[in-house]
Amino acid sequence: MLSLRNIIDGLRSLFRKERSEKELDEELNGFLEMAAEEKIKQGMSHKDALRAVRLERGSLEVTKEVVRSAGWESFFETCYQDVRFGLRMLAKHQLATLVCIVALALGIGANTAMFSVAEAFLLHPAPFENANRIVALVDSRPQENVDMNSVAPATYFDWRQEAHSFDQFGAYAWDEVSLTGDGHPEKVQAFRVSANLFGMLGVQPQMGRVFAPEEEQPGRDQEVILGHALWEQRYASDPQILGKNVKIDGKSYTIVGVMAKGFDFPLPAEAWIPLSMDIKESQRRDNRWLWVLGRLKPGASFSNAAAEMQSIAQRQAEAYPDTNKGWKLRPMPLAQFMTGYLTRQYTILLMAAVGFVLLIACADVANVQFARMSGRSNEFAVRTALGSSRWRIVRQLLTESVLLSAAGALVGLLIAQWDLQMILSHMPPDVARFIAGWKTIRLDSNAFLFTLVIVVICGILSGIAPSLLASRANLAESMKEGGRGSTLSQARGRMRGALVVAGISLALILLVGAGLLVKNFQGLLRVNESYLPQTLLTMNLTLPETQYKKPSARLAFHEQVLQRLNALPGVQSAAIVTHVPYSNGGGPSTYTFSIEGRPPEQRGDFRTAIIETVSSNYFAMMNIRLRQGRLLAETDGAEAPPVAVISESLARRYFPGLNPLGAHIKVGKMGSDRPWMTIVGIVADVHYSWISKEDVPTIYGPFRQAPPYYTTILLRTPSDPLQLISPVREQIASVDAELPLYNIKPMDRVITESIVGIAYVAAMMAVLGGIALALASVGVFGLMSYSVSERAHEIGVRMSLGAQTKDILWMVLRSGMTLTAIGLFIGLPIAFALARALSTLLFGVEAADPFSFIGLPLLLAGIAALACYLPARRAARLDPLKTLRYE
Amino acid sequence: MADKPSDLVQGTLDMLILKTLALQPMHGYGIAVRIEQMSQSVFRINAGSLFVALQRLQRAGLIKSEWKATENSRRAKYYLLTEQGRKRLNSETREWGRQVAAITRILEAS
Repeated sequence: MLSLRNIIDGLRSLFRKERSEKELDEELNGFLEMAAEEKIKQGMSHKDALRAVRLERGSLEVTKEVVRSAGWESFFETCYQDVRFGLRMLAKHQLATLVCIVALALGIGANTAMFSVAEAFLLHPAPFENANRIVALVDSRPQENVDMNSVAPATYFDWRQEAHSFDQFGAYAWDEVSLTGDGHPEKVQAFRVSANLFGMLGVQPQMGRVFAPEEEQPGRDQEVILGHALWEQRYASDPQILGKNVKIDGKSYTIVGVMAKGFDFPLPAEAWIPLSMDIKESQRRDNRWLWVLGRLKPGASFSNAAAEMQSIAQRQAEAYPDTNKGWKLRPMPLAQFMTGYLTRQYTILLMAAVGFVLLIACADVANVQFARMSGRSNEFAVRTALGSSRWRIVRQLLTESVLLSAAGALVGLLIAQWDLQMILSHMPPDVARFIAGWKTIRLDSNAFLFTLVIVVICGILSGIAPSLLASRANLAESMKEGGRGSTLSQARGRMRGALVVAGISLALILLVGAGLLVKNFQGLLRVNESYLPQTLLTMNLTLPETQYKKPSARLAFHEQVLQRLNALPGVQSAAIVTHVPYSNGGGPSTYTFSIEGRPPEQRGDFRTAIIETVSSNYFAMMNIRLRQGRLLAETDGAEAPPVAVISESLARRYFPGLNPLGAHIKVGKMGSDRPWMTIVGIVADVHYSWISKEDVPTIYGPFRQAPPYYTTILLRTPSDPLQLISPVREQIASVDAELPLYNIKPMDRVITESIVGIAYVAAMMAVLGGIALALASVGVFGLMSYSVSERAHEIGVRMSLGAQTKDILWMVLRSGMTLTAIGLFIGLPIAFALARALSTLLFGVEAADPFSFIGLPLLLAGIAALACYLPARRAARLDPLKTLRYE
Repeated sequence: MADKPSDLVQGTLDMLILKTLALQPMHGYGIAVRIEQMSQSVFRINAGSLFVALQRLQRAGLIKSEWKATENSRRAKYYLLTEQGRKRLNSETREWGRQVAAITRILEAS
C-alpha cells in the first residue's frame, strides 16, 4: 500500500536521514528509560533494570534495525549498500572483472547494434504517419515462385469500387525517366503515382502541392513533384522552382511541388509524376504493372481486410479465368512489403546469432561468478549467521552481476556505435537507396531502452545460478575449510561444466553457420570468375521514344555506337545486351514466350524466360560456351530470317528429350505480333542472381532483328575500366548529345553490389563466430584454471604418490576435453539442422560442407585444447611440497 | 503455559494499538503497557513489532504523532488517532467480532 503519505514519509527518511535516525533513537531511548523506571520503582538497580527490559522487549539495536528496514525506502538503502559492496568486490578481482566486462561488452554491443538494424528493417521501414494502416495488395504465382507481382489496372479499379475495409486505394508504377533541357541529361528514378497516394500515406510536400485528381487524365498529367535530393543537387535548392518547366523524356512538365528531405517512397524515388491511363489501358487485366496500396478504414483489422480482398480475388478469378488463372492475391502490411522476405530472414538469423554470443558471454560471466563465490563462502556463512536472509544474499550477488553487465553495456554501447558506423559506411549508396529503413539506422532511444533491458536480463542470467547455489551454503559445511568435496561444490562443479558445454555448443553452431555463409559468398564470387568481371565496364542507356520510334533509327544508333566504341583505343571489344547478370537489383525479369505448334496445355500456363537482345560478340565477352548448333553471327541482320539462341536450362525444361534446334519460338503469347524465331544454338547457362538457386531459362536474340530502346553497353578493357568513362561518354555524346548514360560501373562492382547483402551477413556471421570461439575458449580456460587451483592439494598428493608430469597434464587435459567433446556432440546436430535450413534459402550452400562440419569443429577443439593446456601445464609444474604445506 | 505471555494473533497488533489510542493519545511505552494491562498480562509487546506497527499505521494515515512532554517531564513522541483511524478501528472491530463468533461456533460444535 503505497499511499502519498507513505511515499512522502519514506522520502523524508531517505533524504533527511540523520534527523529521522535521531528521532527514532530518542523515541526508543525514551521507551527503554520509561520501562526501566518501572523496574527501578520495583527496587532494581538502574543497570539491572535496563538489562531486564532488554530481555523482555528485545535489544534496542535490533529494534532500530527492524524499524529501519520495515519501510519501502530501506530497499534503496540496502541497494546502495549492495552496490558499494559489490563494487568493492569487483575491484578486488580485477582480472576476472575485466574479462567479464569485455565478454559482456562484446555481447551487448553486438546485440544493441543488431537491434538498431532490425528496428529499422522490421519495425519502421516506412516512416510516415499512416504506415500502420497501409496494406500492400500484390499478386503472386505460387507455382512459379513469383511471390510479389504488381496487379492489372482493371483489378485495381474493381477494388476501388468493391472493397469496404479500405477508405482509399492508391497505386504507383516505376518509371525511369530522362531529365533533359537544363544542364546535362540525367536518368532519374521516377514513379507514376495516383493523385491520392501522398495524402493517403499522410505526407505533405515541403513546397507546393500534391497532384489533383483531374491530373490523372491523359493530357493533363504533365506535372512533376521533385524529391528533396534532386531539388538540392540538380536545381541548387532553388526556392523559386515551383511553376518552372523541365523536359522529361522529351516532353515538357511543370514542377508543382518538392517533397521533404528523406522522403523517397516508393524506394528509390527521386521524382513523381501523375499516374494517368486511357480507358483502354484501365480495362486491361492481362498486363500487371501497378503496385496497389490500400488504407484500412479506422478500426478495420488487417486480417478482416485480407479476408475480404481474398473473396473479391476469388470472384475475379472465376469471372476472368484467362488472365487470373494461377494468380493468387497476397495482402501484406506495408512494413513486410517494403522489407523483402530475405532481408527479414537474414535479420532474424543475425538476431539469433548475436543472442547466441550474448548467451556465451553470460555463461562465461556465470562461470567467473561461480569461481568468485566459492572463495567467498565464509562471507556468506557469516552473513547468514548474523541473520541475513537467503533472499538478501541472492540480492547482493545479483546486484554484483547486474553491475558487471551495466559496466559491460557502457563499453558495449561504444562498440555498438562503432559497429553501426562500420555497417553504414560500407554500404554502397547505389544499394542503400533501395533498402527500406536504411536511413533510419542509428542508436535511438529504443536502442538504449533495449540495452537497459539486456543489462537486467544478462545480470540475472549470469548471476542467478551462482547466487542461488551460494545462498544455499550450509553453515556447518562452509565453515569446514573450503567446503571441498562437499555436495555443494559438486553441484557447483556440475553447473560450471554445463555452462562450458553450453558455451561450446553455441559457439559451434555459430561457427558452422558463419562457415557456410562465408563459403557461399566465396562461391558466388568464384562462379563469375570465368568472364573476368574486373576488366568489364557496363553502363545503361535508354533511347527516348520520341526520337527513336522507328526500329531503323534505333538500329542505326546502336550500329554507330558499337562501331565507335570498338574503334576506341583501350577497348578490346564492345557489346550490347539487355541486362547483365546481377543487375536489376537481384532477380532478373522474365517474359512470356511461345513455342510454335505447342500451345500451352492449360489456360494460365505460361512459359517464361529472360529475353536478352545482344550483339553477336556478347557470348565471347561473357565466356558463354556453345553446347550445340551455332552462336549468333554478324550476318543475322534485320533482313535475315529471325533466329535465337537458347540456354541449356530452357532446352532442358521446355524441350525435354527433344532437339530444340530448328524449332520456332517467339516472345509473347501465341497471338503476339512478334516474329517467330528459329532456334539455331544452345549455350551454357549464366548465373543471374544470388537468390535463384536454379538457372533461369534464357533466350538470346540478335539486336539487329529487334533493336531495343533500353540496353546495357559492355566494354572489355585490358586493365582498369574506369579510365574509359570519359572517352566513352564523348563517343556516345557524338552520336546523341541528349542521351544520359547511367549505372556506369565495372562488372565486378555490379556483382558485389548485388551480393552486398549476403556479404554483410557473411561478414557479420564470421565476426560473431570468431567472438563466440574466443568467448567459449575463455570459458574453458577459466574453468580449467580454477579447477587446477581448487585441486592443487589433490594434485600435490598425486605427485607425492608418484604421478608423473604427463599424468597430471593428461588428467587436466582430459577433463577439459571431455567437456569440449560433449559440447561438440550437442552442437553438431543442431548446426546440421541449421545448415539444412540455410541451404534451402540460399544458392551455393552445401548442407554437408566438409570444411564447416569437420574443419570448424576441429578448429574449435584445437583452441579448446590450447585453453586446457595452459592450466594443465601449470598444474604439472606445481610443487607438491608447497601444495601440501598449504593445507 | 497460560502464565507465559503469548504472542499476538497475526495482524491484531494494529487493531489493539488503534483501540488503545482511541481512549487517549499516548507514547510508545504507554501503548505497550496499556495493552499488557488490558490483556491482564496475556500479551507481551516486543519493542520491534510495536515501532514497526506504529510506523506502518502512521504511513497509512491512521495515526499521527507529535512530540510532547510526559507527566515525568520527559520528551516523548505521542501518537493520536486520525478520523480515518477511528473509522478503520470501527470496521476492524466489527469484522473481528464476526470472525471470533464464527470461530467459536466452529470450535464448540459437537
